[in-house]
Amino acid sequence: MKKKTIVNVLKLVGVIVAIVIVGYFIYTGGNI
Amino acid sequence: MRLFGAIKHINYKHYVCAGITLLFVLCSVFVYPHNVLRLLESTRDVGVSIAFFFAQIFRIPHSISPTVTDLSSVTYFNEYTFGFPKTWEEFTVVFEKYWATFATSDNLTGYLSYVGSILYYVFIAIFVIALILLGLFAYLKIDIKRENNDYAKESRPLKVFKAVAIHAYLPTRKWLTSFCQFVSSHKAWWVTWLLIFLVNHNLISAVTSCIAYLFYFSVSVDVLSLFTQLYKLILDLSVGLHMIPLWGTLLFVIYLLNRAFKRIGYDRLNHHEMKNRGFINNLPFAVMNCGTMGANKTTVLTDMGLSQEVMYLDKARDLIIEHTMRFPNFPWVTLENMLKDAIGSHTIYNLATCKVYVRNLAVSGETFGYDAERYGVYFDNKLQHVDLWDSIESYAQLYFLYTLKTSFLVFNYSVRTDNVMRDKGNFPIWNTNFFYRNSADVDKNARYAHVLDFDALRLGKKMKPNNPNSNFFEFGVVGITEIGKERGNMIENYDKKKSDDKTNQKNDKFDVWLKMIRHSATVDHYCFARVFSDEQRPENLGADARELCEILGLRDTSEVKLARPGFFIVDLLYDLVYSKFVDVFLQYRHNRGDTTLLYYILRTVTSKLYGYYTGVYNTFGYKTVKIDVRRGLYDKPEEHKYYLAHKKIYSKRFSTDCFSDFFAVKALSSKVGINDIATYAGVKATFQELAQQDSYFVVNDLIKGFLSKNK
Repeated sequence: MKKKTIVNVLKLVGVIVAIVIVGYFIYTGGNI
Repeated sequence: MRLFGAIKHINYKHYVCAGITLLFVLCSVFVYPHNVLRLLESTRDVGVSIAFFFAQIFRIPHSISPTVTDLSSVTYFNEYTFGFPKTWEEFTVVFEKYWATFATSDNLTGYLSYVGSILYYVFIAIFVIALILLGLFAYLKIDIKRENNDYAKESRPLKVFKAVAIHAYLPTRKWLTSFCQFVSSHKAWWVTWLLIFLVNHNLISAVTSCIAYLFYFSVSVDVLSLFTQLYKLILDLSVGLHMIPLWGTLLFVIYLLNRAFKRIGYDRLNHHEMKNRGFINNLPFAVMNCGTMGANKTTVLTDMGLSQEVMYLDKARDLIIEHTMRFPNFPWVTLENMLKDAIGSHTIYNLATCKVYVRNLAVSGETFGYDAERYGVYFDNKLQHVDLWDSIESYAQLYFLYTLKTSFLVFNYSVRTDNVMRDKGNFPIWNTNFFYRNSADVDKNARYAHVLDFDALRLGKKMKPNNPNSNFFEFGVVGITEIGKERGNMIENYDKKKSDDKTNQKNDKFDVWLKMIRHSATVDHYCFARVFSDEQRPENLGADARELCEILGLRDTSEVKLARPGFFIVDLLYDLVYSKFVDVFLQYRHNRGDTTLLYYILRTVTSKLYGYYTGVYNTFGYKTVKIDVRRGLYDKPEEHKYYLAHKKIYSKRFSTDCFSDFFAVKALSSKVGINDIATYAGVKATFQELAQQDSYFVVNDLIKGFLSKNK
């Protein structure tokens, strides 16, 4: 696998993790 | 009858637009009836706040009670608050409760199970898509093996598909495109739709409420009411979030992100360009780029020339403004009009004629209608008294430079420049941005570098004794690629003499010209001349000229980077799709001569993706070149970074094979091609094959040496 592809996959994982974390804040807001 | 005739001639697209407008209005009435009331309410708030503002600042006794601090009386939205508290007290309670809930394991497990349920659907979607793709891929693998030579023949499903496209898809697309063009050219329609949309989603109400609050706050400084405003803003905006479907919101978010990423990309490219200009500004007047073949010497040379040209235009404009500030009441526009006529009639065609023209005006007693007694003829800059006529002389030269509708580049290869002058008959303004350019306008805006006649750079003997161009060079950017081959060094020029009748590198006084370049090109203490050159080794140029130049050692060039962020998803998709398609494409082309529907669709989709991917990389792609700058003979070189933006330097700017036409003519004179040249008979060359090489070593040293010994 090319270095660029690995970096792009890591970026994608980072974005998904960020969405999951932000989602937790919103989910908590909806639960109170 | 006249009325019917007039109606008949109205474009039917107006009726379509009227129908769409009616639909939007019906939406306002039946779907968003309360939002119009909310708009009226917020408009009333603005009126009351303005009245309150003026009553307060003029200290007029009043009983005005600002309504902007009250909660909205339109109750429609109250169900759309997302549980957001109405008051600060409620907020503090909810805030504590929020963090208490945030840290509980129940909340976390509940969220994880929620994420799990979403992932379940995501995986099902991925599974279905993967299954379809696998099926198509398997079918294609079988299809590829059906070998044939049916050149350019189309399969039956493809013919049906194309027939449907021709009769249904293409006319629809054509109509939609023409309709979009129609709407964009009729501002009244799209502005009406935009206004209705903004009203329906409370965006205008939010802005008017904000204006009302600003008027109120500026005289009351009621900080406590800020929270109510935040609550009202969330209420207003929540309507849009509730009414627009999730996919619509997602598309809108993607659109906004794309715009933001593009803006960041352009900002980064402009920042790189400014860094490059700062670097060029710190260099002396003569610069030589050195590096091995393929080190981007000529590319950097061209890039520097283009930036330098823009810097000259900017500098001329700034100096013109400075002169205007020195004598603000002088009718500069009258002078400009006289200069325009003189330039048009070729009375002024260089800086020297410009000076002569202004001096003649001074002698003739031209006043330009300037009230010299009232406004004065001197400007005290605290260094000296600047005379008005000196200022006029400099202004005229700068105006000539600034309005010159030709390139400043004088190169020994062709370079395209595309600065666009916007002129409404007053003071022209140049658009010199390299990045906000439409590729369709490349040829329309093209101007090319001037042919460099080396006789113009020789103060001594010329190649053509009566060359009419030999004195033309006063200012500009001189670019010389492969300067060492033109000038040579001491070893290469050892057999040439100063006393030779013909011009040569020792008697043409090029080096003297290089030393004196500033003198012809200085206007208002600023030099408008620069020499950029390149060569593989600095030593290829004679020491005298070489030591006038700053030597830039071009080291390595980076991989292509992207100034635009957020492109990694397309990058991943492209890597996946394109590499897979290339395998299929080659195999298909090898086995089959016809086109099937599946192959056609796959090729079209990949081609669209390729177009988008290439477009983004060509717009926002850049490379960095590491440059070693050696300032003194014994100094350690300083490392600098130079940015090469694709959009600037590869947009039909120059040809890397700039001397190719010479080699093309040379090749045309040949009667044989590579296919006609003998190949070696085996892995070891024979004696005859070695003799065919016409090599100094093989023929002169080995073969002739051998033959002379055996005589």
